[in-house]
Amino acid sequence: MNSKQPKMPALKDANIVKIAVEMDDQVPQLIEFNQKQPLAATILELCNAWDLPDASLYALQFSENNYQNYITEKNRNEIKNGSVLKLTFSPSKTAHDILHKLNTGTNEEKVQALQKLSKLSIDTTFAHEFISKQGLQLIVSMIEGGKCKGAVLAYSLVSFVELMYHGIVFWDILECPFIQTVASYVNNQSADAQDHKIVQASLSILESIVLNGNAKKYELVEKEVTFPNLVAHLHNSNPVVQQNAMALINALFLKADLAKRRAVSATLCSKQVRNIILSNIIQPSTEQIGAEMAHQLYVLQTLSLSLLEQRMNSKMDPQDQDAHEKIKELRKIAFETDSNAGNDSAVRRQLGVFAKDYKKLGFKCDINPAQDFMETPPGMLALDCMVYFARTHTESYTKVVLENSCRADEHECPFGRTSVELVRLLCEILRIGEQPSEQATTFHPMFFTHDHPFYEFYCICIVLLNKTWKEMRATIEDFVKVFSVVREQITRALACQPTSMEKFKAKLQLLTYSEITNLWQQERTTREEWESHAQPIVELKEIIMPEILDLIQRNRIGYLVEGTRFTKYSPRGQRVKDKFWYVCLSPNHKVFHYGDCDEKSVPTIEELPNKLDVVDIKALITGKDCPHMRDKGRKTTPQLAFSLSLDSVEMTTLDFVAPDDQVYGYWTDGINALLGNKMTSKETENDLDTLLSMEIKLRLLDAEGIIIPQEPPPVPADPPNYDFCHDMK
Amino acid sequence: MSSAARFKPGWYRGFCTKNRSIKGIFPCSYVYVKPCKIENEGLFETAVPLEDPAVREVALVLREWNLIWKNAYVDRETYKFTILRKVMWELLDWRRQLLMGTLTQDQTKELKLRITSKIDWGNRYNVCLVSK
Repeated sequence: MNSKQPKMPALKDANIVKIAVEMDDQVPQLIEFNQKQPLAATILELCNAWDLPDASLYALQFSENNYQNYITEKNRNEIKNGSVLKLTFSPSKTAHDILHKLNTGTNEEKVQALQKLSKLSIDTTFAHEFISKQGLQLIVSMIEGGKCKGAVLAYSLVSFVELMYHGIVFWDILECPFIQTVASYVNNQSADAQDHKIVQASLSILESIVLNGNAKKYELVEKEVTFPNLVAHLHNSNPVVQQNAMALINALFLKADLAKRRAVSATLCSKQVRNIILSNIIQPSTEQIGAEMAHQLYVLQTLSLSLLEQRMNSKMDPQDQDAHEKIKELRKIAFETDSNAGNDSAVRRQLGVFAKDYKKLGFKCDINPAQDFMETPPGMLALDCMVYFARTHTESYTKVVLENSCRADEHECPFGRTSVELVRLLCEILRIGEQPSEQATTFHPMFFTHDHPFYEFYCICIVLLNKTWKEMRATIEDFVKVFSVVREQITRALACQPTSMEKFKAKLQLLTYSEITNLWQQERTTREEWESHAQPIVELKEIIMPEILDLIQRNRIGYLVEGTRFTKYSPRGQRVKDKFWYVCLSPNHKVFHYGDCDEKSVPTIEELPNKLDVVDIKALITGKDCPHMRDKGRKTTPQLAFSLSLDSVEMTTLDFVAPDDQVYGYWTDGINALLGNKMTSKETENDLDTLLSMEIKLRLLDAEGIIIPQEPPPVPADPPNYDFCHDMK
Repeated sequence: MSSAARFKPGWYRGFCTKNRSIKGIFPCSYVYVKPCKIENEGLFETAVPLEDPAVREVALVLREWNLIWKNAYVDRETYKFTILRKVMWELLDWRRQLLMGTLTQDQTKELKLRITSKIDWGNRYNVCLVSK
């Protein structure tokens, strides 16, 4: 703030906020709250005003609907002018009272105390106070016994979740009996009358134990709750139960070792479980899946896909017989028909024949295709995909291979090479091998519809790649370009979150090469449109403008020199039939010549008897202001009429009616140009636009493809000196 | 616009390629460095941009035609003005496509042929009209 002006009160006010304080059964107080004064002092003042004896028992609280934290020295600066606070019992006193009720109260009182506890525990200040009074232990012991039921149990569990949320106590303190008890609430499917709150909280507690506890705790949870039980919760009609069950499943998945993960994945990817997820979570309302559930589905998808990471990152081991067999199988499926299988295979086993076939298969290294799988990523995953394609979509596979191996020109699309690159691209698009991110919510419903979603995804994309390759009439030199198009096709189709593999395929069908080119073109046009408003371009336009206006002027004056035949009108604005007159400007632009003429011939300047000096023109009058247009109501055309008002005795105006808008525009422009006025016609506007846009384009030819910023970048400080040395080596 | 630069932190020094006597210094943030080849290194060196020759050719032709086109406008040769404009926009668009680097070899070859024949046509058209 600027201190020049004597605004002392305002400065002083910075520490003082005007607020209201309420208390149950009391008249609210309006006070000036001093941020410099200790809270205890303010509370004392408030207590005195309300006649409350022991001020240390009280504390201030925010009293907004969703924000009721206690006010401490740390968060007091959140108090703003107009805040409404509440004076209430201090955290310590409240915690003490709740504990007392829990130890000695009736069931009714316990429920009330726990309900209050579950709300207050959201506040860190209170949680600290309660935990320091051994409150958490009490809650744990209440839950642990398994004696609590109904509301007491529900609120105990919710309170526990909230208290633990603050990270004051480590999850490892929890012992086996507690975990078993909580797990039993998750496993207990029978009670359909079971309180949702109990299941929600139990699931959430177990998830936190798995994520934050040590390996032993994980094992315990894993032993106690079984996947079928968790999956059963996905049927639940309560979305929070579904969500928490999903989160626990993901937590167990995440913390499992690789061997276990495969088992978990096998369970989760089984048709039965997938169908439950699909029919209970994804399909009911794909658009309305909450952000948290979407995140959980994303995590599940990421974890499932991450199982491919190992294959993706392993090179082919030359000793790997299984892999060699797979390569042979690719060859066999493509080139050995049933009839010639077996009998002549001994002959064909000659290396030369094989190499020829491997070349046809489009491997980079046709002598030893194993070399093609040495690069990671995608490593062995590429081979797995290719074999899956050959085995399960044999017809498509042979079609793709044969189509390309029989071409005589350079336009064949090498199946091997492109597959390896495609699998690498797919891994990149799906971020295989990366840990699930904390926020991401993008999942692909179609991956929940298939036993081998990634392989299937590849099969669709390799067919697409071949189609695009053909559409582009690509050669091997265009490898990179084809992939840039294919990447665009895949990411755009995925972005629509198709609900099935078929829909994904259908979407890709629409995104042809020419469609992608169109989209690119559109994006470029939009960017250019946007750039045309960029400050540097606007400034350039202003610089060029006078030059362009000069061209338009010369065009218009040239038009006047050429001259125009006008229809004759009576002084009252009536058209005279079959009578014409001709007007033109002298080549030196100083005199208008005019005179009568016939309908066809163009008179020479000498044939025009009348003259009018440009210097004598006082002004240009247009439309209804023209003398020959003043008679209203007649069949006149004032929008085409114009007059020259003159500085002469014998004649005051020379009146015209143009045959059409263009002639009207050109003539008024020309006269305005002669008089040194601005040209205002629509024709000028159009011409300016035509000429200027071309000029700008041509001036910026060398900047094609460079992104022009909306605002010029800042100019750095001047260099310290101007010794720009010419250092030559 | 300017070339041949040696720099201090944050600044380039350079001159106008059309008139070497116009010199100045430029903030680096205002300069986009194009790949180029230095010929005749030393005091009289020239920088030749490493663009596709076709791209440069189109730029040269367009600048040349621009003068003819503007004259056609002033002289109210409407047909010539309209047709040249159409062809110039075509060339602009094709040049942009070449620069985008998204075309395949085949398409590039084909496009260059189209560009060459269009330029030939334009030159014949312009010469023929000029000599008239």
